[in-house]
Amino acid sequence: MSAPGPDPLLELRDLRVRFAVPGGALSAVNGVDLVVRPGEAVGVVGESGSGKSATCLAILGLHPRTAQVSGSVVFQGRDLLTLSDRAMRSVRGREIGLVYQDPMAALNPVRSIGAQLREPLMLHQGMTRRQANERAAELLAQVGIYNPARQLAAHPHEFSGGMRQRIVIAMAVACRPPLLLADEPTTALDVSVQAQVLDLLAELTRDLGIALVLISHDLSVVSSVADRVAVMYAGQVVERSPAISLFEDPRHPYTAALLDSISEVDDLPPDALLPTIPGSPPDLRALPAGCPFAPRCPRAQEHCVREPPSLTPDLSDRDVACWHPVPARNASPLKVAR
Amino acid sequence: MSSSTHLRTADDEPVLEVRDAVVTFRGRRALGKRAVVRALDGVSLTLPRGATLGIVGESGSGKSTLARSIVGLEKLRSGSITVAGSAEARGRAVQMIFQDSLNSLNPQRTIGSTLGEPLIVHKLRPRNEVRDRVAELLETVGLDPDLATRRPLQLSGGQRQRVNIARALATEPKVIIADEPTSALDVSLRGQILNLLRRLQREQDLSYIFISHDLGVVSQISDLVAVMYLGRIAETAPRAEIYARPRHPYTRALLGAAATPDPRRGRVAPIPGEPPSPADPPSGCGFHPRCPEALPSCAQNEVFLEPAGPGHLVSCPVVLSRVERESSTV
Repeated sequence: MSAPGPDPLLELRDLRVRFAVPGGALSAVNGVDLVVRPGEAVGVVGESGSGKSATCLAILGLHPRTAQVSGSVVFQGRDLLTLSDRAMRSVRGREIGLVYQDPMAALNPVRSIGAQLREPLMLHQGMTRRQANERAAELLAQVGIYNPARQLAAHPHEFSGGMRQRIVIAMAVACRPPLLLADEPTTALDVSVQAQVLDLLAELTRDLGIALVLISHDLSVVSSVADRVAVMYAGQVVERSPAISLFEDPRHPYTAALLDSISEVDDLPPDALLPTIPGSPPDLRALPAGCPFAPRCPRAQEHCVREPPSLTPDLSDRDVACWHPVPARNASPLKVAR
Repeated sequence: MSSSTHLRTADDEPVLEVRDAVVTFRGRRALGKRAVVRALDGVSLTLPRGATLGIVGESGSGKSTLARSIVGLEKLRSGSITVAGSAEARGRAVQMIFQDSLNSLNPQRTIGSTLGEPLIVHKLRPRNEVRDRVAELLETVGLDPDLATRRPLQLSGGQRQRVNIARALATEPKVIIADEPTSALDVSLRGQILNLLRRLQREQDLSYIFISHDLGVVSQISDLVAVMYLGRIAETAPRAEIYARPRHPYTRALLGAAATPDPRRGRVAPIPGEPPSPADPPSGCGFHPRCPEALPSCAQNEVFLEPAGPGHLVSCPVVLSRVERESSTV
């Protein structure tokens, strides 16, 4: 966002990811600009097909070989898109950690937890086996696994889903990377365990000074952890804002509609309808010329369909890609009373 | 129509009644003995006609086993389930909608053939009227009748879930059990499906059991809410009551742990520990090892659902004695 601050740790500039599909191209990411500063927690919210996961994979160079990636991913002064595969391997794990939805897919089922935790420490930090073992036990203790020294010999299937995700988080922060990417880290978990994992992510990144990019389809998940939030739709960032103002005073009609559709309802009359967003997201193989949300937008005017709005600074520290944003709501007496 | 459906239910008679239902599974062999998992451990509930009962619980709470036993996919070890006063002929009167819209439809068959099957099996329409009825069902759920010639993979997730709803409607049921019907859908589609279910409920006099781990969705659709833990109902009350005045420590913890779109609320409050395994449940109250209010007696004594207010039942002696003290001092 435009406010001055420390040098960015990660800066995405006009990031685009396209896939060749029969009869054309599918544009998964369409010019994403995003800044992550050291130590801050940035939430990226979007529904399926919004490009949030494709963005995450492109940052790490894990996109499929068939994808065309353009723009730049500047991390600590280097453009990661220009690095060799070999150089990227040392960035992943050592400089950028990754946690994703399914912890079972991130863990090797036939190797002990200890072996998997030792690996990055020995590979990236040149520790001896004994040193790595001690550090691995510390890491397990840090993510709240009881009896860590003994658990090092256990295998992934011996843990519950929530504990597995803690172990994956321990692996991701093992080398103290300055940046952690978490893609839907709690989607597969129960409500009570989700809270534990979110709590752990927030605490750990804060204590270790690690910047966090938390990607989720769930605004509620992001709201409890992120300092700033980017909302994505059809491969673009449509709104960027500090978390509190985004949730209390959304400016982009899509953000506002999303928040409305998850709001709790008090005594809805039986024939009333829940607030919802009509229609469905656009086809990424044939994106509309104008604003991608225009066909579903209650505020759309004729020119919205023709001309795409760009992400422009709106109020202080906020950017909105919309020709007719929702009017800013000053703190109403109701809000103040709460 | 079977004889039972001719009987008109009196308005105060519940359309569905579950009494003391117990479902057990044989667990893994441990130390030479086969453990018995009590997936449902004495569940009783009533569903008033035209109402929606939301059932909330985490993995292993028994909510899906309850759904499956109501539609007859699990056999009760003891207890009873009656629909419109009859324990038989549940097949047509109760239908189910599942979470995974793709795996619950046969990928080889057209939508028309999938929707036509129950009409033919239950002899609801003569063969020459099946096609028209299928078109009508598709229109009822807001789909183009031309989709009848398509196959599941050619539809979007939202469209497929509408087809699943249409299939459930085909037998003209009284009760629909929806097991996480919107969990796999994006937020913007979720509201559309919930609104469809609400409209159908009004138009077709349907009663729902709506199962979800998501407290937000349950609050949007339910009239009554039951919270399950470890195969039992921990608390049940009208929707507004349970969200405004949750009594059971587990309900309160669950509401505190659920993320809400309010950054000012700050961090969520995790529930300590993890849900216990139903194969090895704690003694006494199943929640006592994680409960902030547990007394030593909670580990020993069985707990039962008892009234804590109008339509409000709680299975926690600690809470109940406090409620009693409060009401006696007023």
